[in-house]
Amino acid sequence: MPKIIEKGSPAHRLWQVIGYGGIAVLIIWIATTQPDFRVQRFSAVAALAVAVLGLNLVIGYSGQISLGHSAFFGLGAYTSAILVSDYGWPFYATLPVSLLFGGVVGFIIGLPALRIRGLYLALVTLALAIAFPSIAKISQLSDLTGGANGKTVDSFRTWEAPGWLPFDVNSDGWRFLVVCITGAVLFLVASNVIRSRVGRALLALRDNETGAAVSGVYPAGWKTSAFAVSAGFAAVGGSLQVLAIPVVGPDTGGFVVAIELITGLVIGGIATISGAVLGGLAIVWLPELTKSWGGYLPLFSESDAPLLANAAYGILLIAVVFVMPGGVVWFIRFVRSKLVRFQPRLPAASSAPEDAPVPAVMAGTVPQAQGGETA
Amino acid sequence: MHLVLAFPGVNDGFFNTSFVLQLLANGFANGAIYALMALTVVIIYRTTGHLNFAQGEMATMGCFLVFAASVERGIPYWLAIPGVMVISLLFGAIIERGLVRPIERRSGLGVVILTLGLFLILNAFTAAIWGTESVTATKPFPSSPGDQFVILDGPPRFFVRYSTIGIWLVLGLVVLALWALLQRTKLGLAYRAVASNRESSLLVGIPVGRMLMLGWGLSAAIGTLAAVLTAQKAGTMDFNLMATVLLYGFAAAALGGFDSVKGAVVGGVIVGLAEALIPQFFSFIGTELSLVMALFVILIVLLVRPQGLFGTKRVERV
Amino acid sequence: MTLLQVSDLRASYGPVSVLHGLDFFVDAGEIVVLLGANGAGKTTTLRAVCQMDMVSVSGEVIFDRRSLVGLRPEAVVKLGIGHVPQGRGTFPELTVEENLTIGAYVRRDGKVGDDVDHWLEVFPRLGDRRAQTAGSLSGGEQQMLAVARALMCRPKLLLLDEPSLGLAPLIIQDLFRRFAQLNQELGTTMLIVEQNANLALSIADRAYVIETGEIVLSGGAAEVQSDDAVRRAYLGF
Repeated sequence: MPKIIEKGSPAHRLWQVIGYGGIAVLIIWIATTQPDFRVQRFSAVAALAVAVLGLNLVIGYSGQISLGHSAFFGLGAYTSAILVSDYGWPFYATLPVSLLFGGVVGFIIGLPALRIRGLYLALVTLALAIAFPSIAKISQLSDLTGGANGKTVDSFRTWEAPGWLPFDVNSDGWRFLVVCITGAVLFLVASNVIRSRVGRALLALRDNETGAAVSGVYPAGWKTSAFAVSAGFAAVGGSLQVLAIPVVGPDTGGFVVAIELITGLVIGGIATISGAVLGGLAIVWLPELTKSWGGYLPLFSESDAPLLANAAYGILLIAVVFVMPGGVVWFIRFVRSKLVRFQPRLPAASSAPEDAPVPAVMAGTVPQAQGGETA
Repeated sequence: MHLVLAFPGVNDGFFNTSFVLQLLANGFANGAIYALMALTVVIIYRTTGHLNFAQGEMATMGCFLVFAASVERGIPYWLAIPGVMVISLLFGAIIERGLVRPIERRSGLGVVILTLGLFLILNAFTAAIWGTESVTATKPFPSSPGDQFVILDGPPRFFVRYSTIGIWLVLGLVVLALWALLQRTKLGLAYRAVASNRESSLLVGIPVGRMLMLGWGLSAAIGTLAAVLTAQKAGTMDFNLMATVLLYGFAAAALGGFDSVKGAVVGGVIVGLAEALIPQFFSFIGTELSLVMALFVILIVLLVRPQGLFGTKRVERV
Repeated sequence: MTLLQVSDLRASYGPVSVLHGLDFFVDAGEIVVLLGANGAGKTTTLRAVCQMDMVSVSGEVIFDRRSLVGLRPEAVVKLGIGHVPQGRGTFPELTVEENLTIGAYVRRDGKVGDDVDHWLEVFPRLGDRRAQTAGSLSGGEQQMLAVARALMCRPKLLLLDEPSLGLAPLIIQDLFRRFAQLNQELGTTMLIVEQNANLALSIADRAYVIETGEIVLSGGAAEVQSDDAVRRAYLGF
């Protein structure tokens, strides 16, 4: 029998503090104790999570397909890299630029996309992801982009943690913290947006476009804006990634990353906020896992590790679609709901039981004596 | 950064007849292959409204099976190719029945994800089984240096290889066979009926499920054929053989119209010619960017005229 | 003899239950009308009889002494049921001739071509347009095409789902006149689902009224036509 906890109650707050606090502690622990290469991995997780969050806005919440968000990711990475290493901008100043740039390009792509059906949008965005490396390598632009070799931003590696931190972290650790904090802010923003009228409008749009239009939610503006915002998110994710791992190249925005983002989204959970983090974890750690399996499986040799990772992504994608279409987060929530349920605070029940109809959502909480139907 | 104007970049050699003809011949040959891939896209799209993003990998795997049979074991091509095409047909049908059908009822996005997952799996498995190195390609047509018709002597020469003619012949045969099937047989009529109105097809007693399986199967078989020809043309093959070809196939299908067989052929030829000719006019477009060109074709067509040249209006968003 | 016997028919689309236990029958040679408002379950009833995929069906459906429940839609057609769906259901990209040809998909005899020619004669407007695509026909012509197509499989029972929908009054009159004619000349049994009650009742033998998934009235056509509740609800009185 699941335990019911009212949202906003002290018990709920405690639960939240433990949860988020635990994550904060975990992050600090990683930053302070883990070796550099692993810290970088986790940074990548956070950066990718932001990008996956952006992708989620488009696919999960506004119902459009984008197979090419990696292009925006790469765009953001290049923006920050170029501004910092060639023009000496401070990193934080590049974030709004990245967001804006991604948003504008996203708007440009998203606007005409209104005319075409979902599958075509998939094709166009896929085309975008495949085109990105080629565009980045254009010889005319190579002064700016570094051509096929990309760019490295050495100044990031000289970042030092500020003195007022109560604990000791090296450069990688400090940058990891910055990425996490920025990511957390973005997650908070996204979370609030989703719960607001905007989020509901998007969901209405996703599920029933005609119905939404009739209610005053006009598809064109909302969908394009959703696409633009999500592109902006992806771009910021790219900027964060280049901060953590100060290298950007043409493939940063290419097909492989596009697939990774989709995979992360699907595995983590479409239309969930926390799924983005899980998605990021999946993207980064799956190849690590499969590397160690390389020698054991009959067909794959040690050196085939990236292939095995791809195969694993593919199998996971198909498995999730069949078994867990809501992703891992859905599954976790499902399991959790057997133990604990969070209910919104409800108005006090009226004294005469016959007055108040029993809404289905209360099915688990109404005392049996009322004789209401259990849904 | 400075923009290069188009015309100063025109290749000087362009004004030589032989050179131009060679370009055209090459473009046509590539175009034939793109047309075949576009056909695979159209066949599935017409009845199901889906795009199979794994089509390229299925084709590559089929090509490697032919490789294993013919290059490695010496089975003659006229036996191996049809044999593997039958296997591909079955494989495509099974994929439709086993993976796509259960999902498509639930969600369209699910099918996209499914085919992406399939892409990854097949790509990895092809590489796992046959390695990541290039191998000598399957060559059903004779392809030693002398096997060609020299039409204009040089320099530069204009010659047409037997294999190029072979590719055109194959395209012609496939299109003819497909046309005959669709327009002249009961099965073909039933297939077109399913493409036109699925619910009414049920009411008329057509086994719709079997038609869908047939569609995927045919696509897979034609895909394998396209892959074998691609390999012949390229001379070597590896596990990424068809990745870009599929993209060109999508571009061709978009251009011609996603539900038009005629469009697939015309679209394929146009894309092939464009790929051959455009770099000549704009010399800053190297081979890298010809891929981007294909992608812009997709983009522009879908934005300006989503139904392509020959597709039906239904293809567009209402 | 009873051609179609339906008992306790329940049908749902996924979790949504639409039919809650219908009982009705159709005798050979009859025209039976099923009346009901939008959403009452008329189309669902026809789909349930035909065992179409989107509906889950339970109960008893006996056609020509064979049970239909659980059969594949193709099998139902083979047993001799033709279905003209709501909205015509023509194949817009196929020609008129092809529409008719495909209507006979389940037949294995060689006389399909003859039948095609026959129906093109019976409906001369279709004959004039035999090579045109069905999508280019007018509403009335498409309806005739749909009926002819359903007749191509020489069905014992013809199901018609709101054949008058979206058609001009004169066309509707002509249409129902033809239905009556077909019934008399070919002896084709018909189950017609309609909102436009008057005309349907005028050619029918018996009628049922269905409301929210249940049959609320049944009887001879004239009887139903003169029923007060029916007159108020469906006949506009």
